[in-house]
Amino acid sequence: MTPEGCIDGTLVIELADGWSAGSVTGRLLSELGARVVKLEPSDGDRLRHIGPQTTEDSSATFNILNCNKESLALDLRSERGRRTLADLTSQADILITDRTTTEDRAADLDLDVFGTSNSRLIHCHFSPFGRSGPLAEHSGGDFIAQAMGGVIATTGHPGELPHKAGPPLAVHNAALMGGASILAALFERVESGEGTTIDMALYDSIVSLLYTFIPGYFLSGKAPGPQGNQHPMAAPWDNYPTQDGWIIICMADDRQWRNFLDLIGRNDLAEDPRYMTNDERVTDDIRPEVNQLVIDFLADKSTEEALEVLTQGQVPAGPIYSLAELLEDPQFLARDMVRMFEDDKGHPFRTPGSIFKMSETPGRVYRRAPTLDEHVEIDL
Amino acid sequence: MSAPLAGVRVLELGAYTTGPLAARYLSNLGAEIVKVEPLKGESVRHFAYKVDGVSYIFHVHNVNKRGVAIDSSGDRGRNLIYELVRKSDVLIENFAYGRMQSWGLGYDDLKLLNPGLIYCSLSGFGHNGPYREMRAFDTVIQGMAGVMSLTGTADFPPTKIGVSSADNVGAATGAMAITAALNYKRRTGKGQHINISMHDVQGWLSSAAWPWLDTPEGAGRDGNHHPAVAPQNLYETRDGLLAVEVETQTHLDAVTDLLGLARCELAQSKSRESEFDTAFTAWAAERTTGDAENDCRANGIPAGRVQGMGEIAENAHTWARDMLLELEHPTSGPLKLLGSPFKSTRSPGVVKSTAPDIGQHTRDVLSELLGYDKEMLDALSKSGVIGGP
Repeated sequence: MTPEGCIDGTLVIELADGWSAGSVTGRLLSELGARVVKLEPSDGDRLRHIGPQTTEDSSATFNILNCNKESLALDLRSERGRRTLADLTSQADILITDRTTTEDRAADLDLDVFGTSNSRLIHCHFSPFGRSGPLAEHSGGDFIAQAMGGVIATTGHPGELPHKAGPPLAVHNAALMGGASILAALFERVESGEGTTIDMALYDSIVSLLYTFIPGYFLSGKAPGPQGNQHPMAAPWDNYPTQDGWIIICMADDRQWRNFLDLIGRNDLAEDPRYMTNDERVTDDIRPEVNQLVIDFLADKSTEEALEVLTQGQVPAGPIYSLAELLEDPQFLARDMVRMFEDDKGHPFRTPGSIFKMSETPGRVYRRAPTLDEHVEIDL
Repeated sequence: MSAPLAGVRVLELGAYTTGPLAARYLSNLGAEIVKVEPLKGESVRHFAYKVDGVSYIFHVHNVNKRGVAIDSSGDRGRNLIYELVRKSDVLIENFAYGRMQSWGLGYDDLKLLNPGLIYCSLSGFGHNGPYREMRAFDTVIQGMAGVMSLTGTADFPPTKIGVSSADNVGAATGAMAITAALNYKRRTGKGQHINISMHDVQGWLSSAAWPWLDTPEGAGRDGNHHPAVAPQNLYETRDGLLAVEVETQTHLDAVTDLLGLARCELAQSKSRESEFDTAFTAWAAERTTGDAENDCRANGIPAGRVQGMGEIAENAHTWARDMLLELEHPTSGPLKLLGSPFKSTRSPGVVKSTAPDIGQHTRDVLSELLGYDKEMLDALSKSGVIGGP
């Protein structure tokens, strides 16, 4: 028997192209039981045409992101397309729109019209900077949000040009926040009977991640640049060399520090006021000294040997895995995080399992991504 | 109107970031949070950068909450938590796997007391699988989930994301799963156990790069470039760094027109990456960041400056969106804190009160929710079961 979903019977209309927050949220809501209808332009979502394994109207990237969804091609510049959109949203519970998509496909689309025709509609609009404030109308996607939202400035190595987070962090984070906001509105609607319009900005979602930098900045005016792999408020915390590679070691509290001193046979330092608390260890003077203790400890060990000792001693530590290693990682596999499907031509592709592991209503990934306009005969 | 989760009560037994942050997000959506701490306070209170002896980051994470201090190591304290569980819709915990069970507070214990309880565990690797016992902090997770292998350039070792991605995105996942479970509970009356793994979530973040695993170039660290579309990069201006990002054919046409280059299809743009980078580098070098930003935007090219914490704090947009705001703490004075990212026409997001002192609301909460009178509270206080004024 198919397990129930949290929001079975909920109809979502998704107007979002590319690897965008709107498209990620559509996928997440589908995992929770919603029926998600993706509206694509007549030549398909732009993601269908880029990246590896691109065929006539499909790519690996598109397939990964759009499992579970139904596809309907719609020209929003035409009268007929707009009428269909209005019909669909009049019956929908949730409408997802995304600025890049509306800007490209229907610049004059009036986003506020949907709520007036369907007062129960929950409409979530994703945009780089939100619908209010001085930057409201500017364009951008994940990269611009990372640049203006403080991720890039702090990522990379000291003295070098900074870098973005490799994965689309701003898009995924905004997608989750938009999802939470939509589901809260759906919960509330049961009582009020009324929908709402949600204004979810990638900028807001990414600024929400700056909590580790706020204390230093507002107390002493310190704004960190690229910080390598260290933590602004904890030490020792870094990516350290071993005999055969790297190991990450993170100590945030004093108990873990004492566990480490115990491991290296330096319990004499446990009461040394220079190192005793994290407050001292993070200072510019002391941080290099505690880092050196870790480096010395690792000098004669392989990553595997060091990991075993540190794990036994309850000091948080881990290896660095490539993507290939992740996809074969026993933990990731045990959590059912790698799923295989075949596209409509029979080519296999991998897609992530659901991040929603729930005892009664586990998130479900159950169907390959649709071909363009596959659900043209759609019956709502 | 009231906020969407008004009337939902959340019990938070958390420390550091992920649990407290998930609870704060729910509070921004209107839920009532009762934060349970040990008598000496949760660990993050002692973290670096303090205001009057309390870590500033504690203030950032714990707005909107009422604080209750309980020593749950003994039967009396544990029973108090059981009673609070009976009165709650949601419990959030982010302890290492096994810790809650060892205290008699695991899901299997608590669901007997309250079958409608939504019990959300946020942990490094989840509550099943071979790594579930491993201790983890943010950077360990980023390393093991492939995120670091995708961040930075091949010239440098794998690099973590500067912000705490594993902690924060894990918390946002918890918040979304809980709001989903609330919908299910409203329909069926049933609670459940939510078992979120920060490692799953970071691995999921990397899925945009999975298609490149089977290609000759592979999936690795390529700085600021996009794996399939160009241009996307940082360009040095006369006084700073400009980020340019092409997402659509319209953006690409605007770039080629601006730089005086031949147009091409978006799908072919990556093969001309170095040509675009060279032309944009020369273009940006002659301009200030402000001028370059304006020129790009006027031409329909998505662009923006690289902002650090200082520029973000000075940018009027941040304050106009209420993403930074100031709240008056009763004893520590005004504090700059993070606002709510959840904005809708019917609720602007709730940010109403500063973080509690240890046990600040113990008596209020126990009398309001459990009907304890002064005599009972005095006795519990005297025997060291509860803390606070």
